Amino acid sequence: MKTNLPPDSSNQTPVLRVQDVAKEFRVRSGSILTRGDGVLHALAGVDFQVYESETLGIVGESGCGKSTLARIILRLEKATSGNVYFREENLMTVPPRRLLELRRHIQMVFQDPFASLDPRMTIAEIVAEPLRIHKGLVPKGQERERSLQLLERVGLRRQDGERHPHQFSGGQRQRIGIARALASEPELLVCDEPVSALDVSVQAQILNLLQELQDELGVSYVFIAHDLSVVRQISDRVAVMYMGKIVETGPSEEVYENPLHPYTQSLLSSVPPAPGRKRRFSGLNKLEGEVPSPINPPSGCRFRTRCWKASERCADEVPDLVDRGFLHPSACHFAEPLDPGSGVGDISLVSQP
Amino acid sequence: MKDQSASGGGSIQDSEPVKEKSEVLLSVEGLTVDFDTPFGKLRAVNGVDFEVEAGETLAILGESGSGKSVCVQAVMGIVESPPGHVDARHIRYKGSELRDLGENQMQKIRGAEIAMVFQEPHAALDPAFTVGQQIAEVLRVHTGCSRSDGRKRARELMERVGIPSASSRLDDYPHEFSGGMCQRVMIAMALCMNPKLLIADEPTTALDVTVQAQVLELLQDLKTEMGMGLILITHDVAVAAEVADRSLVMYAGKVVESGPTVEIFTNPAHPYALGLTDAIPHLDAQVERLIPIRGAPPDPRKIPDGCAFHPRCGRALERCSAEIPVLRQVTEIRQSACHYAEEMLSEN
Repeated sequence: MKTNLPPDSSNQTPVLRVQDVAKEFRVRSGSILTRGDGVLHALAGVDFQVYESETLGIVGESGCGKSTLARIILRLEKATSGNVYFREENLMTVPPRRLLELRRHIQMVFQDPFASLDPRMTIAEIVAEPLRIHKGLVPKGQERERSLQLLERVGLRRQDGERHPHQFSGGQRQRIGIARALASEPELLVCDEPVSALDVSVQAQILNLLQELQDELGVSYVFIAHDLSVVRQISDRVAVMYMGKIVETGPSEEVYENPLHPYTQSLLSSVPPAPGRKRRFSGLNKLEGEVPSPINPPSGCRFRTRCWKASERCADEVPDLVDRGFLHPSACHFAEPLDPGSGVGDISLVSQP
Repeated sequence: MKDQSASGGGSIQDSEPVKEKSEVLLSVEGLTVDFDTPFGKLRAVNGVDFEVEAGETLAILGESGSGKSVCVQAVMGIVESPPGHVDARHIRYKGSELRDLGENQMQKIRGAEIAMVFQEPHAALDPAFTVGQQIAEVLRVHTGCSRSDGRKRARELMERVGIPSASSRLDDYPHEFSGGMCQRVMIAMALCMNPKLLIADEPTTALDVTVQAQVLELLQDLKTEMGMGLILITHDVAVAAEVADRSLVMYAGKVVESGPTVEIFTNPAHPYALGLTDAIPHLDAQVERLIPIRGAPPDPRKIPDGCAFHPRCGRALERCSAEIPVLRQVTEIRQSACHYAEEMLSEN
């Protein structure tokens, strides 16, 4: 519900621009069907932008490539092809020295707050570490003071600085991880499933904290999660991924209220409704089967093997992620909104050419 | 375990409101489980009562450390002792006290009468044997059937739980199955002996949402078809509401509220249940800020005095830190362990 709606791409340079990114992994597979060496297509032609002070939510099921994408944005992994621009600079081609400097501006919050903090350091040391690496952010000798301030900012106490990670609960550890990520005053925070390891009573605290910090600091988020409700709550815009591709993207409100791609529609209808609420698109049949192997993705549209609208065209022709006359882009030849109540049985939906 | 079995099957499916003559499968009263730890004694479950009837689904809902899993592990007799100590007024299955049974007799109950499905299907299967072998093994242990009969029945079960091309997949190893398919294999194993009661501990937590929907639907179909009782352990309010008629909400080892699932979360009689409802983001609406529950669930070694929830509770008064609230009937169908439950209910 923020006032700063997704800005028009024409009048603002994005903080992050991901352009036609593909990532392939060479895998040795022993199973009967895929014997020998194979190429796993983790990402194929991913495009998106993130603007100042906004949150782009990336949602998808396991294996859709969302975490690979996070690692590529941070250049922890190199894309097979494509470009990743931070402001004006292409992270794919900048010299290593410059990359180190740029890392100051792009930080990450990890999923597992138990694995991502060094157990032998005090939390004040953990949070001060980025300040020691990126010199000049605070006057020499002030790192510790700054890290204690950051701890206070994320809801911990100054005296907690002396304690070690194991003395904190999961939610508190995630606060420490956020404080560390913010230490170098980044412009972009990539959050990979930051609340999925937390209990629901604590999850809301962390989501609120992230929103407050964004309002205060103007930092942008790429927020990656599998929980559709969490993504809706925190995101200004969302991108829905399936098998390494974005199948639909747009303002959250738009995508959640008027999903166009059959995959988005069935995802939303799979979520069990909270007590007293209605299931979205309840007339939709349950999605059959499972995600195919990314080693041999289906030709054409990768979702066609599970799609009730699939026709010959879907096998032959890859659907581009483009505006199809419904306010936001989708990658389906037969993209069309559903009636949120039920209305799924409409024959017009299926027979649309 | 002898006389009632006849009434099990047909009568349950046709009607929901007429539930008087359902058979109580499991009755637990005053269940307490302690663990010895290097830091002293830890009470994981503290005086829990519940009952499950044939054809009914009961959800036990709680966050990590609330004691929900330990409850059912105690029922199954799989709490390791030491360090665990199980105590209860009774744990009765079809009228007979389970704790009086020797390990041999208990072995016959587990799997044949009460079966269990776990959260991590990959961890629960042996990577060195094919899934067909593992399903058939259950049958051989319980019935002493032949290898080929076991294999045939395993194939039927795999078909029943919706594993495509079951006859060829019998010879596949667990790593060749996806998480959802592995969970189906686990369910097939649990169904081998047509159990009367199925306990599913977070069966869909590790699964994607589209697969979760499939597995929940399968569990419900099987329950109806076989007239089983089902206990679903979950942390997810929406999953509980989807499949469970009744829920127990656990906090710090105790039941804080129980009743029909939808009622609990649309008209809570305990501040914790209310807090959970407010803290959950929704698929159909974005709010400016969520309303979190402050603080974190307590360390089971240091449960607060009085009401264990009082340090996190917005409506806590002096009485709450001094006096332990007892779980009591607050309406005909609801129980709550909050001193102010009636006030909460009247506010709505």
